[in-house]
Amino acid sequence: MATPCINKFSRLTAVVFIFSISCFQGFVYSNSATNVDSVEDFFKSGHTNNWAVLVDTSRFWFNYRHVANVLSVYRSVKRLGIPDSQIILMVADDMACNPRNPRPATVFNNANQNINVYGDDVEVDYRGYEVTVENFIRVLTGRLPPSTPRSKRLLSDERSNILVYMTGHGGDGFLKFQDAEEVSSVELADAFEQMWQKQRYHELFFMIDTCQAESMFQKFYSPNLLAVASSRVGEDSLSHHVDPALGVYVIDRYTYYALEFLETVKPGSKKTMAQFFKVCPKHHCISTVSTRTDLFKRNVTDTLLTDFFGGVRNVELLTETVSLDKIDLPPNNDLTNSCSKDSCATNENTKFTFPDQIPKVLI
Amino acid sequence: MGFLTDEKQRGRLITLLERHHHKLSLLSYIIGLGGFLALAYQPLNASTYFSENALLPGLVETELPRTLDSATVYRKELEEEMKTDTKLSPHKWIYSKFRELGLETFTQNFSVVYPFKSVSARVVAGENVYSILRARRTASTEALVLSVPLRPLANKAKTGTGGGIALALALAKEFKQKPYWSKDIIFLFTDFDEIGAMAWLDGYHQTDSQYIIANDLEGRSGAIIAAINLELPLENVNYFNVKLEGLNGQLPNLDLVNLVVKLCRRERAQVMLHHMSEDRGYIHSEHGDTFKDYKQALSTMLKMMWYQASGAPSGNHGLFQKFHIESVSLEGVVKKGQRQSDIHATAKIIEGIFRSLNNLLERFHQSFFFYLLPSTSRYVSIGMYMPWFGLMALAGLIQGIVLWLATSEDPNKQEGEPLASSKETSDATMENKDKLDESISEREKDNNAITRESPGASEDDKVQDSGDIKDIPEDQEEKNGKKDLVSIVPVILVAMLLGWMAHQGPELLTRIMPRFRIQTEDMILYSMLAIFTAALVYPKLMKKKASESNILNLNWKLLKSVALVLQTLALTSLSLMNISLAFFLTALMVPVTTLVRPCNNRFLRLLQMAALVLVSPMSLMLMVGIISSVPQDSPLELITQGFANSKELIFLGVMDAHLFNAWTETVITAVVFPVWLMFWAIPWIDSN
Repeated sequence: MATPCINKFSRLTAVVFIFSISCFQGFVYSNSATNVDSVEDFFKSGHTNNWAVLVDTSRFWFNYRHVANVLSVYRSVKRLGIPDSQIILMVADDMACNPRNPRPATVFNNANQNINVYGDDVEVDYRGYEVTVENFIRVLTGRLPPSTPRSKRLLSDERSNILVYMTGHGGDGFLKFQDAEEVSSVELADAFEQMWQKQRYHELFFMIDTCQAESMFQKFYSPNLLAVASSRVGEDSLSHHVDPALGVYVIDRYTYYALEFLETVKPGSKKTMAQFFKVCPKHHCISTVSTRTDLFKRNVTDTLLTDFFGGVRNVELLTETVSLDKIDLPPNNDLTNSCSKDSCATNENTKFTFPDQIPKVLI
Repeated sequence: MGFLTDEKQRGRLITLLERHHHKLSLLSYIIGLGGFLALAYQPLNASTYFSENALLPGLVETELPRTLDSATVYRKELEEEMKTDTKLSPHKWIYSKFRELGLETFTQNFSVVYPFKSVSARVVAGENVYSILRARRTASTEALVLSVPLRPLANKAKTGTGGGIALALALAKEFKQKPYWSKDIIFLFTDFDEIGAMAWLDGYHQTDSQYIIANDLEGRSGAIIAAINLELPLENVNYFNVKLEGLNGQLPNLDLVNLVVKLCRRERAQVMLHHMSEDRGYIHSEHGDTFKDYKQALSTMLKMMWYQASGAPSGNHGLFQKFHIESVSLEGVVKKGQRQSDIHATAKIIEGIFRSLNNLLERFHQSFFFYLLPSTSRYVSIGMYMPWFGLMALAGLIQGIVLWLATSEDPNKQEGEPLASSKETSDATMENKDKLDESISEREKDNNAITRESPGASEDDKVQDSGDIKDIPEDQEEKNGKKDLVSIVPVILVAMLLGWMAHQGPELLTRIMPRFRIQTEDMILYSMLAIFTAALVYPKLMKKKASESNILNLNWKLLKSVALVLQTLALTSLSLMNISLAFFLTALMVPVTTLVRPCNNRFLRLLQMAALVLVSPMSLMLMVGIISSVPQDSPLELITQGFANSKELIFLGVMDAHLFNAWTETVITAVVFPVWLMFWAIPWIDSN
């Protein structure tokens, strides 16, 4: 598909490209119409990496379903290709180890107990009382103390597409965290604006399953935000069903139907956000699913679901050899001063330096 | 605010009160009483609901086998065991069975020292058995209790509890295998019903009781969150009766009651409150507003209030509430010719209740602690009944305030100009305005009487009302006030003293005169009666001393005002703790006490006295005794049975006060009785 134009980029040194759209489009417009189509097909989203911030804000045994919600979404995005290193999972309570759990060390999202969403490979980044409004806002805006490990940071950049999923108990204009505090819609909107100003995202998809969920995105004002909420203001979001063996509600309606849809999505899927927005009509959800698209530049019918739910893996394997031009390094480049152990052995006074990790010429 | 701070405005309010106080207080009493009783009418109350999210009632499916065979086996074994000696409770058997299950099982010995030592020096010994099932996956920080009173077969007065024991054993066996307990479960078997429960709770919480001496417990768990008391006979039961009235009228949190009712319904077992059946229609809002439904609901509500008013616990649960442990009793009732619930269904109900309680994260706190139930599924909360009760109590307060105003105005009269004309004009206006209001004219008479006593005081209150307020030298007013107060202080003191005597009387008398060969019940009743009759003649005795003129020379208005204010204070404070007791006392006492006044007519005076005696604490007790024995063949039997009942009632009241710190007896003898005695003095005062 994109093969014809590859040669034109052959000055770039890699076969697997991590594209940046600004330099790329210039070439696209100089090309023929067929090439433009195929290239747009390949690179139209403009992001180079995917992140997910998945938050369950409520604790206590009777809120089992919220933990099951977030773990189910976690499972889906992981399946679709976002690695653990790029998922910040916040779970406010440890249901698997709750003494009331008749099936210890498991969390199920379905009454048949088909899928243990708390299986072997779950990496919870913030757990229990670490799930606070402060930590959540700090993770989003990147204002974490220096001691925070990389795994607990949202290391996104201006080419990152971020999925933010939240579930818990909410009201008009707020979402309750744990049992003592809440994040307001204004605080959340400001956090996203700060992220935008700090170039921490390219596009952000906000998904929330809580009562009066719509109120949480009504105050958003930053560009490139896309949002979906499980209920309108004044509506309750309801749980889907009880597992009588556990004695608790195991999943919420909106998340249940969203997951049902996501199960049909495979990493290379062409399903769009517009299709995803139609998930859970009122006769299923009882609440009205609400969306916000006015801040989003692209058309949701052209936006792939995997732009947010999957990892970017645009890899093309070429059959023919690509001959790369030799790069002429500037004369006084650091590279020229470097030497190997053998060649430098004679000059003992020379101070060794590491070469730059990324050659300057490529920046 | 200006309404009360601005003197002119205040004057207007006072005028309004003075002019219409009779109508106002009559109206507020009738509206209050009617409103209160109307609360049982379905559209005026609300259907119950769960406030506590954590309970998740009935969501979990049962994990018991379809037929809990161990329960029937245990039941058979127990029956044989109990039949070997029908006078003994099966302590040993229970102990060994729980040991066999591998649970931590202990016994606790306790002894009851009889409060009236002189009558019987004997010490009754008892033994509780309890067993703790430890939750596997938590520290023992919280616990639930399943309690069953031990009653030997020979005890025919109360329903047997053998079914409860067998069920507790079978459930312990099942529960032990489950991994999901977040709280320890304590199976408690108490000797002598409430006394054993009290001893165990004292031992558990390391509190001391003067009369129940309890040994320390060998094994313990954490804070007890809730307790269910089972009173199930060995037979299959037909319906469950929920008992919730606790010590001093305390009630369990409404969520717990709802939980029990809901889970009984889930197993299709019939559940009732005070054995009152109810229509399904009443529960659901569509058609519950017929008169028949109302009558049914009202009698259920009044029955509940009746039990609550006594302040005595209606089962083991009543004592747990003292320690802020929410608890109810579930009594299985055998009644022929009705659908039965077998032991398996009962087991599922109890399992469901415990699984829900297991989900709790905090103590019960979400739902109401103060409520009345006209049905198992509808409630009247404190917010709904309190205004009506307030109106009833207000009737007395209005009169008290008006009388207080009338007495405090007397000094003004002394200060004012002794103008006959002003008096006449005011009299004229009064006649015009309230010609028919007899009481006002009587008040006029009183004013005249006072005027006669202190010549020069003739200005009427109307003058003041029209804004003509004089600056009275404070010291003079104080002097006058003092003089009036001093005149009634002896009456108040004597009333208080007699109240104290009635409170301490039974114990004092038994201590002073130890060698009477009569039963304690009689002893208490006769000592109470003696104190009461002695108290009846106190105004007569005071008369003799007060002056030669053979009248009680004191300001009756001030006395009545103080007594009314005191009565309102006592009843409203009581209503916050035991609304039922406060309601019945208010409904009976307030009309009589607000109407009572000195009067010259011999017949009227006697009538007043008779009415007062009728609402005296002593005759109220007799009335309660008679009402509680109502279905009797002949009036004579009714009276003898009623008398026996009230004797027992008084005895139990005194015993509860000593053993459990119940304060109904204290309230009646040390608060209601002295207040009543103050009113009792009023008809003895000469109205001239």
